Amino acid sequence: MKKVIAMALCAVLLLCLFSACSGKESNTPTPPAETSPEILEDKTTVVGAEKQEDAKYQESITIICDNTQMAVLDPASPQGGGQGSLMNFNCIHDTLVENDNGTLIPCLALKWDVEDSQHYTLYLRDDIYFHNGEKFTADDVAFTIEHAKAAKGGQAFNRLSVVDTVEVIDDTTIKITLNRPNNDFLYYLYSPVCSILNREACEKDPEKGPWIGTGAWIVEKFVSNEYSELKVNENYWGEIPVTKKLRFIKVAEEATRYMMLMNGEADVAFGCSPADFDSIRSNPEFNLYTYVICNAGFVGFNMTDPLMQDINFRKAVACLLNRSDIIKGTRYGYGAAPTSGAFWGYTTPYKNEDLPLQDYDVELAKEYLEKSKYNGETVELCAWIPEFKTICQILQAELMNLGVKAEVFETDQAGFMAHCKFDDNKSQIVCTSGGWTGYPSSTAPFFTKGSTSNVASYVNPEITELLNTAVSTKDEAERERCYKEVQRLAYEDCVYVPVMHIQHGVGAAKNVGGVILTEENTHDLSHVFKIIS
Amino acid sequence: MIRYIIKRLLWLIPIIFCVAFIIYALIDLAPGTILDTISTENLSPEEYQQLVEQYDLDKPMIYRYAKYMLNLLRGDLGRGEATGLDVWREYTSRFPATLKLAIAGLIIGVALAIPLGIIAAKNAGTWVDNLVTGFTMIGISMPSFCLGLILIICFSYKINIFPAGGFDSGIRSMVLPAVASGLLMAGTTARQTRSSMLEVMRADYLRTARAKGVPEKRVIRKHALGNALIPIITSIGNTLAIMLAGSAVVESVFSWPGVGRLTVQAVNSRDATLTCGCVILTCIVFVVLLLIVDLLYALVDPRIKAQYTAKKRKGEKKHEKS
Amino acid sequence: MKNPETAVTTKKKNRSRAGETWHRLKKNKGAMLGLAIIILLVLIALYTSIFWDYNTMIVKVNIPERVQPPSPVHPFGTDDMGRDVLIRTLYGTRYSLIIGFGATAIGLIIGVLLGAVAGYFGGIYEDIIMRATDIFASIPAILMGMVIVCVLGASLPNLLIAVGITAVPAFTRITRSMVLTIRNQEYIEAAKCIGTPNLKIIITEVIPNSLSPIIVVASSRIGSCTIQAAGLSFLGFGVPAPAPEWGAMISLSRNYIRTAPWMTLFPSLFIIIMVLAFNILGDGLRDALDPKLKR
Repeated sequence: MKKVIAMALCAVLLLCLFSACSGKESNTPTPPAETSPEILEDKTTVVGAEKQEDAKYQESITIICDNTQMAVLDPASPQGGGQGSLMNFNCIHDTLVENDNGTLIPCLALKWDVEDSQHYTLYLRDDIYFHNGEKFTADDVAFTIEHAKAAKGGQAFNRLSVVDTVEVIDDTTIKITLNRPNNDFLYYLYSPVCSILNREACEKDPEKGPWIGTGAWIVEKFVSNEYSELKVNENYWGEIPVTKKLRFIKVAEEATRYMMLMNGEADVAFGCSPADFDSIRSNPEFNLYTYVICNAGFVGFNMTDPLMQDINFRKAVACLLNRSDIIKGTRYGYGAAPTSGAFWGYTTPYKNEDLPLQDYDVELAKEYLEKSKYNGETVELCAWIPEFKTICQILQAELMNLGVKAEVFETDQAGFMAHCKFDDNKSQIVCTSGGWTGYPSSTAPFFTKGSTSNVASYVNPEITELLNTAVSTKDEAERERCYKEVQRLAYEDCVYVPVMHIQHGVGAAKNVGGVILTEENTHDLSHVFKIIS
Repeated sequence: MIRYIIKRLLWLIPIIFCVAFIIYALIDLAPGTILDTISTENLSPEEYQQLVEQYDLDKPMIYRYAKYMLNLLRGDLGRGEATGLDVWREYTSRFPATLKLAIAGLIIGVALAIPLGIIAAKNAGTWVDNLVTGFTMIGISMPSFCLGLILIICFSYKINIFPAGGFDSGIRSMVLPAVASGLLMAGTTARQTRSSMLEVMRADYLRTARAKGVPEKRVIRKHALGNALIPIITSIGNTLAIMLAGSAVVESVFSWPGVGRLTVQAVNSRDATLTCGCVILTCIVFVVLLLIVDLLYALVDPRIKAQYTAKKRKGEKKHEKS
Repeated sequence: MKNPETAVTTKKKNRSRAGETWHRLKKNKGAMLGLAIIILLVLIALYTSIFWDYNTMIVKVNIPERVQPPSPVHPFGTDDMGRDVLIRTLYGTRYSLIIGFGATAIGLIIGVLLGAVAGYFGGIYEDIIMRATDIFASIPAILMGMVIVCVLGASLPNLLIAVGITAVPAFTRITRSMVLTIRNQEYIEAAKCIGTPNLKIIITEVIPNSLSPIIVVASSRIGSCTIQAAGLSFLGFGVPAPAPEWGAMISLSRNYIRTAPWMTLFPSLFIIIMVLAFNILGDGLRDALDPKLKR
């Protein structure tokens, strides 16, 4: 009998602990009714409080980053492409040009001549100094390009590998020749991964050299994949920030990010879980800014698999995507359904709006399934990102209703990449997210032979030719035609079916301002501030 | 005794060889390689092949293992393949954090466990015993991230006494993570204490001591606890080892920049050099720790001490009495 | 023997050692309760699929009813995909019983044997076994688990092997430490004097006398094996989704722990009940096996 008391006591203790967790707040978080996703109205949006006259600003601001890679603070490194790293680069470095809602504006480069899509001449500023006192010259631009081309596998390499030769004409003039025409090239340069580094610093210290930049912030301390501490650069050539210290910390648990924001340990928190969005919204001392980035979540089919080569089976699966359920189930409603059936970035230009999105239609799916070659085998669904693992389970339930046996194969990123290699693709159906940016040629990796993004192992010679034409032609109308045609061909082939666009949220205290959100997740916090009186 | 210690430490060398081999084998068997964590969008086949050769991925695992061991024998732990960061420096800059957490957890755990275990044993069968047993169950039947999150919610979010993460404000930021790992230690050790004490308390020599008129407190502390200590020490040693190894979860929840997190990240990027470096260094810590535990046995039980220091006589096996 | 006054014959039953143990165990009410709970869990594990269909309850997704607090329709609430938490928890019993019990059994059998050999023979055997244990203890469990499951495939038996192997070092160490204390006792010497072979001494004298802390470790391990399976399941290297393994359920609902605690509460409660039951039974077993406790 006494042992029963022990167990009862233990159960009561546990119940107390858990009820302490929910406590005063309402137990059922109500999902947003029919919120239209707040898309960024412009490609970059400044959110938060306004600066005021005679305001006192908080000296140090702490920002929580999500759990992506922040291993190395080198813009060219393959291990430095996560959100935390990109935010750091925006603060520490400058780029040649900047993006103002789709228009390029000068930054380190004052003006540029574009001869044809293959030859570019850039005229640089003359009055910039790096944090170590060295003067910024065209030679540093040349070094940055060399450095990026040497670091194979990084995002900087992906953008700058198209450069063939660089000619330093004088300290403020540089001529760049590409190895093939590409009229998106200047747009590549506004990404923080193309930040300009100092040749002297990097050659002297390959590890800490890339920490030297021309930007508004100087690196004081950096612990790989944990946190970075920056202090303001009083000699900055642009507007000097009012905050004196910045701290970016990487917090692994989503629930902890919310709690650190609430108890004041952090002033800005990226990557909160959508389960917490309503709590942030309803709290009068905090604001929640939601934004949808370019990336598109999709379902892809391995075109080297015999069952997946049957277009009827692919179309059947495409009819089983209950997008509103998926968005509610994975993101609590914080997601945007695709606006058209085209596989394209959310706000990337030249989206083909004429392709109708296949709605959730179980009857039509049954028809396609009957026409297909499916004969009772088990189908494999593969994912590595948590939201997409959930989508796999939802799809599995739908397939089961139709009598198709499906099993979910979950793995981590490296395992996933190995599973869906272009040359040796062992997957069948893949649910993952694609990397899109603000320029249309970011669609190319999904259709290129040998690319890691091409998880469908799909090559269509017509598409390849259209993509080549699109990057080399100067005729806007022709570009638009090419890209829209690419989308139409992929749509007809039903290889990549768009599922949803994730709506992220950043929480910040009410009196925090100066947060610049971008559609490519490369947010700029170099001028963040917090008013304390 | 010194010879025993030296002999144990010499064993480190074959252990390191074995551990490094196992790690290389495991990373080789795991799906994906380091090249699967970087993007190969615009790499031509030749450039991709260059990368493959750079990481020696076209050569068999034995080759990479041999190369690593040769470097290791020269005292060079190498640089992480993925990040280029110096392994020794990354590990040693994070090790103090893990050590602090482990020691704090150990102190909290033992300070809770031994008195609770003694109380439970003395009142065996009563409601006190059951309450204590129930409490210790919590530590060992909840996943540590669950426990950690609950602690954060209760003591950092609802009542803001302790920070939820990071590694800044000294003692204050160490309390919650230490309690989370300490409760695990408390759970297993309290049960072991209770069990050993129960065993020992029924022994005859305690009755003798009480008959002699020794005060009860001394009976418990000197005679009972002393003889019960061996399994308790083993349990503490075991759990400390588990804490050091499983610290990755607690470190993750509390954003504590320790060694466990580093190891997990290395495994996720399939970085054999960094993983090997972390595991070997952790292994050395384990071996030293277990040596200390074994020496403590000798301290507590003179019979065991005699076994360690026994000299080997010609023609006889070591531990048989002549 | 006959008592001349009352002429009542008291018979002394001849029980085997196991029978004696069972007889004593029966008298311990707490241990019987623990046993009853375990039997109940086993019954749940075996018969849940008869009452509730796996496909409708576990695989099927019901988004409109997601994250509902406990109500008469859903006594434990629903999870983030609208599935009933009570039924998922009941279904999860089989995974946790198999993994908890099975992995501990693997660890116990291998570990106790190795530890006994190490402690009893000493010398080179002890060195090799204990150092091998050190090696296995320092390999990160996540790596070991990931590889075993990836090479052999993600399924329940493979998860058992992965978790079982990580349980071996604890048993080896505790057995060795107990054996070190025991082997110098007089009864061991006596057995050696009369020429009993070493193996027989180990099995009949050494191991039974060092059982007490081993049982404590075993009953604690059952809980930690289930927890370890949770970690592996979360990474995707455990039972494939949507299997409702308790540990996986807890891992996957941790983002909701503040707003919807019922998703984490009930699987945790079940784990605690299972661990408590095994521990109480373990205590009772230890008491029953103790020859000094003749009552």
